[in-house]
Amino acid sequence: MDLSLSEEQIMIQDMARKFAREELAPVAEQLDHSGNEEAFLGNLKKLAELGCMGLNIQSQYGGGAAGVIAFSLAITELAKACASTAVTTSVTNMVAEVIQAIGNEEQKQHYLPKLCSGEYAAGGFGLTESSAGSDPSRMKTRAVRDGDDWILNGNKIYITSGTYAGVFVVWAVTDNDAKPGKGISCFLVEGGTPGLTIGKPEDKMGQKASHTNTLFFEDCRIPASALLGKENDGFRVAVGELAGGRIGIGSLALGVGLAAMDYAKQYLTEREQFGQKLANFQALQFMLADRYTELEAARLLLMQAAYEKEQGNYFGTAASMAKLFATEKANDACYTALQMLGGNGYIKEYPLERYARDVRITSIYEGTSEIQRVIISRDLLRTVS
Amino acid sequence: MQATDTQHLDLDLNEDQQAIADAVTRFCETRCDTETVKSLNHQFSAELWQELAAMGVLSPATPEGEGMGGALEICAISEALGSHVFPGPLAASFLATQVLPDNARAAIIEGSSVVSLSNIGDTLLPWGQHADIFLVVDGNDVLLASCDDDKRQAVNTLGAEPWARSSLTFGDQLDGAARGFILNDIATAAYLCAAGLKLVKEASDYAMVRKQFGTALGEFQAIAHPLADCQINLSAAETLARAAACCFDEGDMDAARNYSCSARLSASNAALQAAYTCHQVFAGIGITLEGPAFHISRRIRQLVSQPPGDVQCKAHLLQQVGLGTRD
Repeated sequence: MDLSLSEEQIMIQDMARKFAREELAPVAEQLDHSGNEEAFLGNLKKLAELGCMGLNIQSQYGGGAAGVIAFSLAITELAKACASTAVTTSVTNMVAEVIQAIGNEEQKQHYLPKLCSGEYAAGGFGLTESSAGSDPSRMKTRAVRDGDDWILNGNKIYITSGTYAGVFVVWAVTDNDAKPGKGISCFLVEGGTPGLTIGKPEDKMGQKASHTNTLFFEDCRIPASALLGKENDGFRVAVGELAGGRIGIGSLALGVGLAAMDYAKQYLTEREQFGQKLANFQALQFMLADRYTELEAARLLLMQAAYEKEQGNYFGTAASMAKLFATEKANDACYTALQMLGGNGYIKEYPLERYARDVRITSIYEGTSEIQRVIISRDLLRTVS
Repeated sequence: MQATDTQHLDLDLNEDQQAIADAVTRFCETRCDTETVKSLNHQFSAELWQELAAMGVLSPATPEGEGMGGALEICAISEALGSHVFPGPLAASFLATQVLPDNARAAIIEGSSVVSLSNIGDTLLPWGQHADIFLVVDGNDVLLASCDDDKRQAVNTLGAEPWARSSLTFGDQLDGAARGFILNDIATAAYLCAAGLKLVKEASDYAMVRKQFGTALGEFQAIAHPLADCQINLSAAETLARAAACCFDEGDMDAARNYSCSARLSASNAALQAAYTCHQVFAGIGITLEGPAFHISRRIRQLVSQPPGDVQCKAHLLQQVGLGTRD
């Protein structure tokens, strides 16, 4: 593995960093506070025009073909300024990658340019259900064949970008008699399809500008051509794509953690207590050293997972390790940074409280830390046996 | 640090103390249940605060509080309020009752005055939008201060409590700071432990009914053991708070100070750990404002961040072992 970045990767990282500083950072606090949807959607459109909505999508479909490492670098830079924008970008990339991985040529030609160009503001990933979170194989949403159509019934919860996604990748049981996880298929459902109702955005702790909704499917009729991949083979696809999504969320968490620590580091060099700069206190110095060491280790784990995926190798365990480590260390970093600012860390005039709220979900969505440990330990024990 | 012989400490609440705790619990259940707390969004309700004060709960360890006991009663009250996440400047009020002159103290006890406790050199004033009494921590001392209303600006916080920003004009150094700090730390620790234990209970109940992979979450050791660790650490901190209260009531102020600092530090760490762990158990549902965790976890975050903060306690404990640089 070559740890140095290619010219193209550096270019994309710089581009994302510049966009984050100039476009996202000035409005991030406002988006968190008031949820200015127009500004939020405007930024998504600009990101699409910069090629960030299809970073790992082939160029003939409008993507950047820049690879997984470039994707990870871009998400980290975006998250330093606005986690809500970063998660929307990450999920949209993931949706595009599902379509690229298992879609037929017609589906790719139809949907990928719309996602990559920003014609669709975002893509939605419809997997989680109220009784099937960490264990999606027990999902209850059903798809029944009716002539040339499929009819969907059921609910999906906590769906990122539910309000404004142009297309959703939705998983549903298509074989009631199959064992859990075996009779599930994957479908493309466009926003606005009759029978699909989008619930109100959840009032969340963090990442508030990114809408999170429930999708209600009530006799939602979609054409047979909406089947994505093979019938009854959807669960395997979901598991595979979630692994890719974990690189995105780990990268996002890394960005938030770094932003928090960078802010706190600067603060320590300016703020005086007991007659000297906070940065002179060894306890605080050591906290900085520990957190930055952990975040650097997280970055390397993410790069390794991204590299393995880019090479076409099995990367599921590496992605789980990277996601687990990056999100938990980023949580630690945000809380440490908040504590370093004392009362100023707690009030909304400073960004630390937003970082602490935004980072909390990262060790929960896209597979909780506990699920990552299940995957990692299962793989380790399989290797031993 | 001198160890205290805890064999003589009875840390259980007696009948009278339990009766006070039960009364506060009943008050919370009828006047400030979970839905009310959520709808208040951690804002200050003067009406609720005065109703609470009318029960005499701010009067322990004061001349006016005859029959309301001392520090153990403060423990009992703080635990009951913490388990219901009742909003208000509770710990600062207990400190205020130890340092303020008679009429100002009476106003605190009856709930007609609201106190803001801040650190010297800091312009952030917890509960400052509603406060009319301003106390400032200066090392081991407490100063009375005044605030120019025209300069007071509202400050939004993570937990949504009504903080403010303003420069203060410092007045007299007040007597009784040592007692005040002890009660402030005891109340903070007891409240934090109770709030944390409430969160652990909610998460444990959820883990018993929520099934994934065909099994209740609580059956997974990876879920159950961290919850057990939280319970243990919170219970240990709660015991420290009660030990501090016992020493205070017996007049052993040195031991009370050591225990109260240990209690506050332990409670802060244990409550933050519980907040993190329980959010993880609740997963997505814990992140929403209507869910069962966020209104408690952000109260925990508020109390941990609230002045005078952990720094003073750490400095005191370091001094006891011959380290540290502060007076």
